[in-house]
Order: sequence, then C-alpha cells, then structure tokens
Amino acid sequence: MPQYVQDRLNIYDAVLFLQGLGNTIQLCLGGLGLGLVIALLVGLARASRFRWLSWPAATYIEIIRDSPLLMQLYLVFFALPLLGLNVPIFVAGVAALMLNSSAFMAEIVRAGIQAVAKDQWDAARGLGMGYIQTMRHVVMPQAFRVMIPPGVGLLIGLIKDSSVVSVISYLELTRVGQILTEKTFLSFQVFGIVAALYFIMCYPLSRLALYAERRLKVGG
Amino acid sequence: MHGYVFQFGEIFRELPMLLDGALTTLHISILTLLISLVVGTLGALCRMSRQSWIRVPATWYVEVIRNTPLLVQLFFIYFGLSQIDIDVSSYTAGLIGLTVNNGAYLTEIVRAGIQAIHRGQFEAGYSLGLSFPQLMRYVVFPQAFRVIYPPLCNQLIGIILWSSLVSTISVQDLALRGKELASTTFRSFEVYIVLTLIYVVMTLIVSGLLKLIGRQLFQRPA
Amino acid sequence: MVKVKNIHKYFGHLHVLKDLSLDIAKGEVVVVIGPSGSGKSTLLRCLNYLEPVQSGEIWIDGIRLDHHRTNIRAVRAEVGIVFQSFNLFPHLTAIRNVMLAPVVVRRRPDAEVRKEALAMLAKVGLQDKVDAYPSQLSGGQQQRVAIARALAMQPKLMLFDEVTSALDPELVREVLDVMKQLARDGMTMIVVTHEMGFAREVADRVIFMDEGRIVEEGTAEALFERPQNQRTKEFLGKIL
Repeated sequence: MPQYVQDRLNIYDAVLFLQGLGNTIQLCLGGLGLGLVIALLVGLARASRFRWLSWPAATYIEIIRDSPLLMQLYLVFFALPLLGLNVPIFVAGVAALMLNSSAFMAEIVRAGIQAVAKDQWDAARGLGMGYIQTMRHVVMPQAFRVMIPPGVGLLIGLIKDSSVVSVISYLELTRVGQILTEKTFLSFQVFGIVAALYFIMCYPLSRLALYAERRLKVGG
Repeated sequence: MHGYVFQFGEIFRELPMLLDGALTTLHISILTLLISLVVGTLGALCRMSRQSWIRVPATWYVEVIRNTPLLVQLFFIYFGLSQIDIDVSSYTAGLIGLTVNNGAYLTEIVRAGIQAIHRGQFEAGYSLGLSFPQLMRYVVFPQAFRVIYPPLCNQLIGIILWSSLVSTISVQDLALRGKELASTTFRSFEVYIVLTLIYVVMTLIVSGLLKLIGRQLFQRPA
Repeated sequence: MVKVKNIHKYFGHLHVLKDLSLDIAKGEVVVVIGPSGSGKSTLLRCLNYLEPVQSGEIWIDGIRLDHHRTNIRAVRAEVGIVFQSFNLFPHLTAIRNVMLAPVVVRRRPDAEVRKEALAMLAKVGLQDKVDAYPSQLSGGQQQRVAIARALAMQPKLMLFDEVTSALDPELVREVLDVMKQLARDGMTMIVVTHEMGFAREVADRVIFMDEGRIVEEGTAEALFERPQNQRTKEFLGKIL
C-alpha cells in the first residue's frame, strides 16, 4: 500500500491539535476533580491522631509516590476489565491520574492542616466547637491559604502528567503529536507546537503560584 | 473477576530478565543525575549572572523545561534527531532527554543552595583575596552541597521513576522489559504488579542508601 | 599608608559618605566612633573595595584602589578585615580557616602555612582549639579565629568592623586583649567600635563621624575630655 507522507502541516492538523488539547484538559479536570475528593479524605486521615487512620493513608501515599505513573496507568488499564468494567480508555486515564495526584494532594492537605497553629484548636475547642465545626470554620480556611501555592504546582504537574496517558492510545495532545509525526515526519515542528501548547497552559499557572507564594509570605 | 486465576509463576521465571532491565534503569538514572548536576551547576551560575545575555537564556531554558512534559521532550529529541539525520542509540537519546530535563530542575536546586549561603561568606572570601573560582571551590560549593543534598536525593528518586518513560523510545529498561513480558505471557496485570513492586523496592533501597551516605558525609557538627 | 581624598558614596539615592578625607600613617591606631547610620562601617568596607566609591580617591600603601589596572585581589591580600558577624567558614576547622587564604591565594606550601597558622592561633590564645569547628566555639573564640585568619595573610593594614558588638559582654574582653596586643606590636589599625575604654588605651587618634562626614578628630584624651563640636558632645553625652 503506498504510504501517504504529508510534507507540511495543514488546517486539518490544526483541528487535531485542538482536539488533543481539549482532551488533555478533560483528562486534567477529571483527574483533579475526583482526585481532590480522595485527597481531602486521605489527607485528613494522614493528619489524624489515630494510627489506624494515618498508617494506611501513609502507606497508600508512599506506594504511589514510590512507583512510576506509567506503571500506575498500566495497572489501572489492565485491572479495570478484570473487575468487569469495560470502560473507555478515557476513564482508565482519569482513574490513573486521579489516584496519582490524590497522593501528592493528600500530602499538601496534610501539610496545610498541620501548618495551622495548635492554639487555634485550643481556642476553638475552648469555645465548645466540635471536630467538624473546628475543621470547617477555623482550620480549613487557614489551611486553604497555605495549600494554594503547592496546589497550583500540583495542577501544573497534572497537566504534564496527562501526557503519559498517550501510551494507552488516548487521543490527548501528546498522542496527537505522535500521530502527526508519523504522518509528516516533521517532528521538530509537530512536537514544537505540542510543547508550545503545554507551555501556554502551564506557564501562566507557574507565575500564579509564584504570586500566591509571595502574597502568602507578606500576609503572614 | 470471576474465572480469572492469577498466575505469577511465568513472571517469576523471567525475573532475571526483568532485573537486567532494572539495572539499565538504575544506570541511566545515575548517569543522568551526575551529568545533570554539572548542567545544573552551570545553569545556576548563569541564572545568577549579572550579564543579561547569559542570564536570560538560562532562565528561558529552565522555564520551558519545567512547563512542558518530559515525554514531549523525549519525543522531541528522539524523533527530532532522526529528522535531521543524526544517528544515536535509543539509550543515548533517552539519556540526553533525561539530562536536559533534570538539568533545569537541578539548576533551581543548586541556585537555591548557593543563595542559602550567608552573604558574609562571600565577603570574607573576597576580603582574603580569593578569586571567584577559588571562592566557589573552597567556600561556596562545600557549604551549598550540604544544602542541596536532600533535594538532590529526591531528584534521583524522581529520575528513577520517570526514566520509565524512555521505554516509549525503545530503551531496554525495566518498563520495556515488563511490557515485552506482558505481551508474550498475556498476564499483563500480574506483570505490572511485579514491575510496580520492583520499582518500589528499588526506590526504597536507593533512598535508604542515600540517607546512610548523607549521614556519613555530613558528620561534622552542623 | 592610607590616603582617602574627597570620597562620596551613594547607596542608590542615599548619600552615605559626603566628601570624606582622611590620612592614616603606618603603625597608627585609629578608632572611629559615631551613631549608627553615620557611615563608619561603609567607610571601612570602601577601604578594601567591598564597596566601590562613586567619586574621590582611595590610596592604600601607594596603590590607588579604583584604578582599572589595579589588581584588587592583591590589594585585598594586604588589607585584613574582621567582621561583626565573624563570617568564619563553617565547613572548615579553625586551623583550616586560617590556612585557606595563604595556601590558595599566595600558593604557599601546606606544611609551612600550617606552622604559621598554629603560631597565629597560639597568638590569639586558641592553641587548644585548633581542630574545632566554628559551631563548637564561643563567639569570642570565633572572633579570635577570624582575627588569626586575617593576620595569616600578613596584611599591612587591619580593619575592624564593630567586632565586639555581636558578642556577649563577658566574651568581649578576650577579643579586645588580642587587639590591644596587635596595636602594641605596631600594626596599622582602623577600628570601628563602641568600646571607649579600648580607644582610650590604644588609640593614637579617635575620629567622630556623623551623617557621612568626619565631624571631629583628635587624641582619645582630647576628644573625650574636651570635645569641641556640639554634635560630638551630644553623642559622647549619650554613651559615656
């Protein structure tokens, strides 16, 4: 079969880039949204006084932090059918990103909670507030401020990590790059554009993280 | 999961092959770290230069690398080199990609280490008549190294984990060996469980060793 | 030995040294006093070119400091400075701190320098602390190592920038004793300090600085007992 090799990029390719970009954003939103929920629970558990909560949480976090995202992705990808779930690869991608980011987010949550001075707890308890009330009205609002700079950093990491989902052939931005490179052999141009698109997504976020960190220091 | 029987036997038989891949992962990671350290030190000095024609490109290098995915950088280098007809092995391309990537992160780590040093140290050194290279060698770097050692260790762990991506450009590391095993045995799930375990064990051993080394190196009272 | 001619120094828009001139002869011990912000530390730091001056001339032993052909490192090797915050190298033992510059800058052999360093440390009374790290030494001991380190380069001029200000009171004496001995041995010294007793004992001249200018100077006795200028009187009134 004659192989059609395109010698330059055209408008249809631009559409493909946008599609990839859109899919990348969807992956990240999915991973972030669900990941946040898990992260909050695991983070709270990790910061808890009870060993039966903090220990499993710590183990979960440690295993995820000590293994490559690529492995986690493949595990989720091959585990899902075994559990009887024949889901689209998008779901596998989101699940893997969600698991991975939740571990790092949990550490950020833990650090945020522990950054709030113990006196705050004493004051709240002294006023008669229970655990949940203290968390909700006193601790979390303060912890939240501390969590923003590393949280934004995590988001940047998530956007970059989503590129790994290309290995299970999901049509996100990096996969688009691979496909177009195969088609046109213009790898510098194609991956140059791919890199530029990731940069446009991530760089403003890094400036934001810097800004947030500076404001945090000033606010005290 | 009805009807699925876990079969680890086939995988354990191929353990030597997998461990050989693990060795490749380890040595590409260590090489990357060492070369990135050199790149990072140069980068840090450039970033702190007063000449903007040196400082600005160095800053751009760091920002571009830190805001784009490693996988894209690897593809850019691997496919890019073949586009301009430069013939390198996958291993070399992977090494270059990993080094360029980590060089940027190390630039920031080394820079933080140097900036952590009290200004008075520089003044004392210059006042004694030391030149810039002498100051760096005898006063700054020995102190900076102590500061950068923990983040450096973290970086090595990161390199070991993220080096798994070089499997996508055909480097025979642990990840690729695993992938090949999965395709021959059709036991993908078991294979990846074992692979993950090997990575975790590698990581724990390396970080344990690094902690021991750190304790030995930094014996003097702080 | 030291000739300062009409120097002006700015930090940004802040005019720190205003048309300052000063001459110091070899072997002279000059003490500089004044309120904080008067520019006395800045003056000192200009003398070994840690800070450049915007206009005027500084000559050290016949060499002009800001001339483009001047080898500033060579000049710095001849001018020793001791800082308020000691600035010892924490990763080196006391003796290695003292040995570093002669070995690396003057390229002298290790064994020779070591002998001299031991003698230097003995001179400041620290022969027992030769292999101690700075973190194991008290403030007074650290400062004495700093003096030994500066002396190891056999400088022609020694600058002391409020070297006892950061020390606990009971540690001040040991450092001053070392400095007094140095003065008696004939070293040319410029000392910025608040220690008036020291000034009275060893200073050949005391200079009072305020707002970047030399307001008054004279022998210790003359300045402290019979200050002429109003500002001098006010300052002395506050501290004596």
